[in-house]
Amino acid sequence: MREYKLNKDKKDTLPSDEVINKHKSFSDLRASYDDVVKRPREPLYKNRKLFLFLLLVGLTIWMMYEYAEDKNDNDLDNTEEVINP
Amino acid sequence: MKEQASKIKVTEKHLIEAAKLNPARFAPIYDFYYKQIFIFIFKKVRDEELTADITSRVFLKALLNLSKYEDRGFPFSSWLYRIAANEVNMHYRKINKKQEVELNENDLRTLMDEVSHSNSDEQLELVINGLNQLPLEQMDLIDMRFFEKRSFREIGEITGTTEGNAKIKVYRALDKLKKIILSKS
Repeated sequence: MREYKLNKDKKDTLPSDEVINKHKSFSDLRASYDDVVKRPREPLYKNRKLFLFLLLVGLTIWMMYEYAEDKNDNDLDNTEEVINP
Repeated sequence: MKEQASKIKVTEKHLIEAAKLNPARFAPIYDFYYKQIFIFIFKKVRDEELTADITSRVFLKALLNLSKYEDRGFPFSSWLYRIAANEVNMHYRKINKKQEVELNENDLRTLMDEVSHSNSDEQLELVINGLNQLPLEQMDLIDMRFFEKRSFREIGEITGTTEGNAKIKVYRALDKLKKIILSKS
């Protein structure tokens, strides 16, 4: 919201160049920019959803690997039985 | 004069493209526009420290979003003014406080010539009350035209429209103000 008021007494004074230049600093701007852009990423253990998702993916891969291993062993046993009945 | 203006525009375009690749190259643009953006904000907030704070946020936002900036024929300053106006409005929304704008009597009299037949103090109060009832967007338009003394072309550049469209919008705001004043008087 904005509210207009009449200024009868005071003069319309603007800050001097000296005052403006006091606040002007490109190095501060660069520092703020770097702070935003190069902000460290959130560690994995702090992001619960992503952590659980990765855990689930890991478990699925491990189970598939185990299943494939078991199947390979069974196939080998069957082959040996065929060779040496 | 025109040639010089186009030369500045070409240089500015090169500087912006360079700054998109390397933020360190934003320095000349920052140096060139800092003062005018500072004054633009100061006229709205009337507080030196707050102005400095908002000005820093404007340039940070500009630098962070520079890759999204596209040259559509308007000067780069209009993009900065738009960010600045949004930042000021956002500041007052955030702190949930009314933005108090002190008006110079002479500026107000110029506006009165447009919307009122009389120049009495009573009418002056009515105009101020009417202004306070306008939507924020129309307040901005009247601010730019009558209190910041901007041309329709500049208003168009700041609001991202054409000069003609800016003129129409300003006159619509004035019509609304006239109606409010008439209903009160």
